[in-house]
Amino acid sequence: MAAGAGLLVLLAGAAGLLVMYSGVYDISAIEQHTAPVYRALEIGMRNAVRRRAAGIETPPLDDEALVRRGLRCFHDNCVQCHGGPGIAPADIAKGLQPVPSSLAQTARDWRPAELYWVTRNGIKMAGMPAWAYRMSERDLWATVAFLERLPHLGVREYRELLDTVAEEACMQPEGEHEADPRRGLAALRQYACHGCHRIPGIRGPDVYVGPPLERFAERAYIAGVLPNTRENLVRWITKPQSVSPLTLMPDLGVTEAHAHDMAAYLESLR
Amino acid sequence: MRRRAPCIRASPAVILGATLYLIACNGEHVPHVTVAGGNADRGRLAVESYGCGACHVIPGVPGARGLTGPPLNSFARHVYIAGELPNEPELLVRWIRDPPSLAPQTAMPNLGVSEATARDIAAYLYELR
Repeated sequence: MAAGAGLLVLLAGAAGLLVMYSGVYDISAIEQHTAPVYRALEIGMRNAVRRRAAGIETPPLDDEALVRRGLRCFHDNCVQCHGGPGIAPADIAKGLQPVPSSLAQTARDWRPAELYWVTRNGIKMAGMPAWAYRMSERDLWATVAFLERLPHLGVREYRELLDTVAEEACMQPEGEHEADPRRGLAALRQYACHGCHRIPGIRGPDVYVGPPLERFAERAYIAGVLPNTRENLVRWITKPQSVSPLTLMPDLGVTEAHAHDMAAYLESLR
Repeated sequence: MRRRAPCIRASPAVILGATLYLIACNGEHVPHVTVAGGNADRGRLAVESYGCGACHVIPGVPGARGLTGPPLNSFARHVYIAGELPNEPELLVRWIRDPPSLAPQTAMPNLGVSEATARDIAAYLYELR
């Protein structure tokens, strides 16, 4: 009986892989998912968030200063995809599939700890990035504090509240003192480094836009111009164009602390 | 009924194996790049005699394990040269002949490679797919 069930699961899995491999499933963002696929993804996502947010303790969120801070983060970072009261999402987000949710609805339907978890960690294959790498811990919770307020605001209230909020940008995450290769590996993924470089330990596209970073610890030079030291590597990662004005590697806005973590990981590649 | 069991047991494993094999072998299409006047066989020998392998990992060249410059595995797939130039045959020939003339800060020296030899070397590098 158990063997039969196992066999069935194996067969179904193989059939699924074959369907993926054959290319028959329409991945166009113009066509909808089939109803069963859409439901399965939706339910799986909801349950995964619920399970992971279960142990998170929610701090007090009704502090007015925190709500205002969160409005700044929301207006600068969330509105571009999710829209806001009387504000359309930007063109880049309109055709996304899945469509970025209206956060007024989400804030009503999801618990604060769940909103925090999704904002912090993002969601694979949904276009939702992990804001942990662009926002401080305090600002992540501030954003949640504002989301709690969002469903209660009309267009006029939203504008009035926004007028009272400082222009000061949402804070970057605080750095850790000691560079850590494990955090570095995560940071390399979170700054899209593997979009151009092949990096051992990261599953990503087979790309050769920048040089592959295998055995980086043993390389004598960085980008063919700087001796491979920690200090130079951090300088290169944070401000490549200040070293080589014509390098194709852009300034990705990597924080000093994240660059130290990345360097620690790259230095472990032998 | 029992007699059929082995056949049924084998089929999912075969399907799974075949699927995984197909997925694993799903390579990229790499177009073939030709270099006017370049000969890849001569190029490989030139790479050896100029000692390029002291600084670069170069597949097919004995002892080419240097890590001063970037590894040249799959060079035909590299999008850029030295992080600054589009990887195109004529630029690559110029780069091999005189790197500092294209990127003044580069650690790669001018090795005095002739135009004809640079074309051969470029032809070999584009064989690395």
